Amino acid sequence: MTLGEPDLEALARGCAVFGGGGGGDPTLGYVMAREAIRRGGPVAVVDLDDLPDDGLVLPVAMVGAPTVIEEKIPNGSEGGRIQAVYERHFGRPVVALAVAELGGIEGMLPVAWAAHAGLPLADCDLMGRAFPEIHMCTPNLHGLPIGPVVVADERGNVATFTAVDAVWAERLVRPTCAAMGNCASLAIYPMTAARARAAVVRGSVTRAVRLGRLLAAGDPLAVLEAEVGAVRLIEGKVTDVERWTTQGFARGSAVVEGFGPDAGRLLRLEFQNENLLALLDGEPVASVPDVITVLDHHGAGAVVSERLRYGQRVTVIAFPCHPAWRTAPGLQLVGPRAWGYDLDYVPVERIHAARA
Amino acid sequence: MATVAELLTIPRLAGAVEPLAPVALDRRVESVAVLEDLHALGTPPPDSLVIVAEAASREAVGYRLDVLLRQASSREVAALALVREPLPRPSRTAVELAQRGHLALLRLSPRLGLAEAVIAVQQELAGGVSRLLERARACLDLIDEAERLRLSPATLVERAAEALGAEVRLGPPPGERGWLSVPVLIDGEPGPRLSTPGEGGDADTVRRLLLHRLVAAIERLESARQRAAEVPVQTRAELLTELLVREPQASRDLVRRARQLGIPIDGWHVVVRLELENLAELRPGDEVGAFNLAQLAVRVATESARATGGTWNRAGTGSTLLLVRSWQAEVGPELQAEVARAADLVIGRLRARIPRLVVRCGVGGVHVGSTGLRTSAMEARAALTAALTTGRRNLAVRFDSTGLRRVLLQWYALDEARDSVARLLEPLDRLGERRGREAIRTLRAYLDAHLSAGRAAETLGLHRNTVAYRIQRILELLGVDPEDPEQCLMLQLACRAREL
Amino acid sequence: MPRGLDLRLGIDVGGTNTDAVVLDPQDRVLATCKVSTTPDVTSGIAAAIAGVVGEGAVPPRRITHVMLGTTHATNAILEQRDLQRVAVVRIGGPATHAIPPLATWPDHLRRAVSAGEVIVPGGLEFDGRELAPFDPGALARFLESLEPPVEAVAVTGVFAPVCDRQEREAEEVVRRVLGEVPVSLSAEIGSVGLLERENATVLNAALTRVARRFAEALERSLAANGVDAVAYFTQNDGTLMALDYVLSHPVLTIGSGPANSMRGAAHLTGLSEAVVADIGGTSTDVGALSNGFPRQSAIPVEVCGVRTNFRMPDILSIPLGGGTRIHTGPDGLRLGPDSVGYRLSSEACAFGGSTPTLTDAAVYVGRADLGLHPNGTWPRGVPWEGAMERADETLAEAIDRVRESWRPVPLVVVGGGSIIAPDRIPGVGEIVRPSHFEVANAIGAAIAQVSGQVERVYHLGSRSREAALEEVRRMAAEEAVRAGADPQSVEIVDLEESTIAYLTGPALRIRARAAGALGSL
Repeated sequence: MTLGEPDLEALARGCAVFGGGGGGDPTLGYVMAREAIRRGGPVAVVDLDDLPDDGLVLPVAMVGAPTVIEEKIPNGSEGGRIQAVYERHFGRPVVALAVAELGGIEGMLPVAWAAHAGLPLADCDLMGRAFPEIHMCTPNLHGLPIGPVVVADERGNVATFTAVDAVWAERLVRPTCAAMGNCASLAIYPMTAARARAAVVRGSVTRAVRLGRLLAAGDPLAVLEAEVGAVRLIEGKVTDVERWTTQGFARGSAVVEGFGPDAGRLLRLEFQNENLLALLDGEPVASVPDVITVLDHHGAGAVVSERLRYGQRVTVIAFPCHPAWRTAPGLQLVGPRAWGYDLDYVPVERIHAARA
Repeated sequence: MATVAELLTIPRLAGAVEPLAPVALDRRVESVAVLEDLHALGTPPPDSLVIVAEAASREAVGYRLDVLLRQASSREVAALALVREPLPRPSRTAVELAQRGHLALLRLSPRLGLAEAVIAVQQELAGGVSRLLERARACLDLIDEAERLRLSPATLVERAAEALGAEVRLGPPPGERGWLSVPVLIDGEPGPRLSTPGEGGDADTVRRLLLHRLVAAIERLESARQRAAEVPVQTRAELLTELLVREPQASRDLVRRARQLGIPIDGWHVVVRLELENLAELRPGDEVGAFNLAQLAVRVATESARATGGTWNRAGTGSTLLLVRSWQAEVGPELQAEVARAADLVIGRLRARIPRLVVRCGVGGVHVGSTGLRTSAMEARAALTAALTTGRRNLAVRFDSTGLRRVLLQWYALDEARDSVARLLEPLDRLGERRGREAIRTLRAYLDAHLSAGRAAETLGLHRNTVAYRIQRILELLGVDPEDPEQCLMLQLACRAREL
Repeated sequence: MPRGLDLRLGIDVGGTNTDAVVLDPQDRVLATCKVSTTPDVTSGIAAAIAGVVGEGAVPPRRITHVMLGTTHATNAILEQRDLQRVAVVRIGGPATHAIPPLATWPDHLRRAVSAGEVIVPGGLEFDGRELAPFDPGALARFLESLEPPVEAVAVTGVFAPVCDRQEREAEEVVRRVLGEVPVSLSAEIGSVGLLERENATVLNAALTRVARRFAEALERSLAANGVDAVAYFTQNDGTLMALDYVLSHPVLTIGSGPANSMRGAAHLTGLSEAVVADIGGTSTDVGALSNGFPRQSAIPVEVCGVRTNFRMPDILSIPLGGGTRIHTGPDGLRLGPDSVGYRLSSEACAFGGSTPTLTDAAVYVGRADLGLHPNGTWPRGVPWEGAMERADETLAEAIDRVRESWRPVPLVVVGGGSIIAPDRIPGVGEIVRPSHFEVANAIGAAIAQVSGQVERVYHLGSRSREAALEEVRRMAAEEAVRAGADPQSVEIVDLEESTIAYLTGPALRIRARAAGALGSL
């Protein structure tokens, strides 16, 4: 398929749902992608099977503080510059850029860079949702190296890291990003299309666009149930939001008081950028790595966790994550215990079946 | 078996356990269990109090507490006690879950040993004499401590009830059957009764013994309280007495001390002067008896005055007694009548307590400040003199214009009085008839206005400065100190007598 | 001529009505007047002024201060009338090229306003370091290349709220090349969030002529009525700007109407923490009072299709008013969103008309007594109680969305349509209906204080948080004094700090607002 200006809104809406409360406000990414497409034309979205086996696929993202990104907007050519670094390093062409994190602004930015660089976008991502750290990617489960990692700023500074593992990469990227002014462009897990086929979440971009289109047209809950297997956790009003910062991450918890069919129930939502855990009347009803998303009744869009506030009328849904996350190594990386929740992971659809 | 609220009163847990939310305190508890690991709740017996050990309690925050509460209520746990230092308020979800599960959420101080807490609760739940003995021990400890802690009898009763975990009442004899009750002697006479419900058997013997110990303690506390209350009254009385007899110049220090003692010296006052005419005759030849009678009269008068409400202080000794009613905020002259009514009441009480007693009583006007206090005392004395001359007994006589007029007439009829008035006002008379009359009119208005030139000016329809100037001149001519109430009263009497 | 404070004239120009009130120094209402807003706005103002000074109790010579709240700026943008051609300058290259200036504007508005756009090298990092050196040559070349007329210039630098040095340098360049044109600097207009701040700055630059003309018209209206007074405009935080300040910050008048109502409600009730519902004929504005001032919106606000982030009262507007029509049809009961508006007094059933409105429902259920009672001429089969219930639910939900916590708050009901409000609303403590509720907005204008607001980002390396807070407080107070406040009475009314998370050590964004009584000028 081709991503043109009319598809961007659908992509943004879809990304917000997959983002599960994280990924930032998609508006800025949407405008950037639109500007780039207006200048560089539509972006081809290609399946990994249609790319040459040894062609390089480059997942890209933005790292940094959302506040800074909103002020210091990227140049737009970062994707092209990163591409050049890799082509020099590997001595072969980059055939496509890819979305690293499917959510909010991060799902949109690669579109802008691809349009700017005249590259196609591979129809995949590395998470199938949003996570806050760069090692929380499915290729990590397949033993693929995260590097070389390239960090670039808008001035033309480029740093390349060959890190021993993903955790070290995260450790090296953060101070570099800080030096660059607290936001930077990033490429991780460069891989050949052949390698990528088994190691990433495939079909993400087309799935997000399709979901976005359907959401705009029909009953959101029915669409989500049919498309991603979403279950409804509660329909109600946000009655309490608490936030705190630990180790540079914005964490918090919100309480949704049920109304209508859910009157008398309380849902507690725990989040760290992304929604991580939902407890209904003290009972866990969904947890990472499954995706928990808050939908606003007014506008029916997904609400990012930093925009949760008292009085919002919302429906909270959850749906299964990519199967790779449900394996033992997957759960070790991003399961409830990885976030400090002393709970065993139970797939959301199984909890739901037991409750029904 | 006991309710959560009852468990909170277990003496050994006192101060170390508190509810985190006012939820399910009426829930009945059957047993007690300890939870070492948040994940190992298992199946505790129904209606148990689960004490979460300290390490596990530290983890039971946020969503973990929600999960624990949820599990606990599904297993019919009656109460959860977290061993924590004081916590911030529990989260909305936690309180809500506790409410839904009708499950009490408690905090237990880590200072209390876990084993001790468990044993205390178990003993309480076991009931019977052993429970009572444990509580009786706490009650006796409390009685031993009562004086050191300066408990009031009411607080002692309240705390004893807490320690006993049963109702304890100080008041009229109980209406209910089966209650145990012991009278309390106040001033050697039977007063209220101390009562508690009985259950029969050996336990009631323990209860009866405890009641007697408690009553003895209450009597001790009560008499100590009376003595303690008397000391500052005594000091105040002496101070006031001095204040009223001293020269005004020498009283500045006294005024300061009065303020320190809490006498509202800067407020508005009415003085009641009581003379107990025949106190000596009532106990002829018995000096000790007469002294005791005087003491009794002082106490009865002071107490019955206070019983009428408001701030009262007393002064004077022997057969003359001054009662001062004071207000912090400004009050009008009409309140003199109210004080006079109170004085009548006091006289009534005195005569009820000491039959055949004869009392003379004068009530001064309402005046402000320390000078005003003295003025009111002078007026009370004048009114009392009027009472004497007019033969009114056992009745409060007010210092007011009508009563005064009669007194004045009688007084002015005396040659000596006429002479002294003439002597006093002579400097003004020398001004000539018209100017003299004008000066006396001005002076009277000034004195009636409690030495306020402004108000006098209003009465006279003159400018304030005119009045101030005239008064200065008049006082110079007379050589009188307006701050001296005695001189002022004499002047005021003289002015009024002239107008008769 | 400098004079002490005597009578104050408050005027609020709304979409439907222009209201005027006169207050004495003790804030007592001496006269009120409500006239229809006229298309040219100024003649409506003149009529309203004539209405209050004509009542005899108010000698025009005693009016010493005039405070005006107006939607004039909003209308000018909506109708693209009188807007100036603005040279749009962004300092931020090589960053920010991904989204050029005005990229999010509706095309027609962009054409009406823009004389040309440029991104010149420069800008700052969040901690005040240079992102890139500012290039004055590039700016000069751009300005020289523009086709005249260039009537105003808007300058927006990346992270200018941290430090406005580069924007000031750019202003110098503009002066050198173009001479005396109005220049709007983003640091004076909005907060962090480049696109939204830039948009607000460009709107501001485009509105400078509108502001000047409006100010002149106001002065003429005053003079024609024999009023010789110091004039102020109210801004969207419910405080005042002196006339010379409004000429350089006209965009701040946008949204001042609801802000005035809320300030008026606070004044009339003495409440400082409350929810205010301003119920008009067509719609209801619901907002929260915090510390006696309208709470400000934390998220971007759209003005005529343009996303901006200058401070705006956090207002929720719902299509519910006294004139809202009650529809009954095959799909059941529906309220509005259409309204009979100013035709209420001829078309509503209670006034002898035949259109069922919420005012009629209020009369029917006995909430309002207009002296006109339901009779045989009223249409049959209208579910009056049901309509009222639906209206109550809608209002209750709006109130609930506006309040910040689940604790009960008092509700103040003002505005001409307030008779439709119920006496009890779930979650609301007390419902207060102050006297003069129908002109609360004009009263809000008349009692307004003068304020100043400053927002800065600090990288907490060398200085403490307390020192940073203190500096922002001081700057806000100075800003208030510059805007005309009496230095003696200035106090901080709002202080907000937020940490910028991620990656490095603590960076703090601090916003402070100071307000004080009118200084004697």
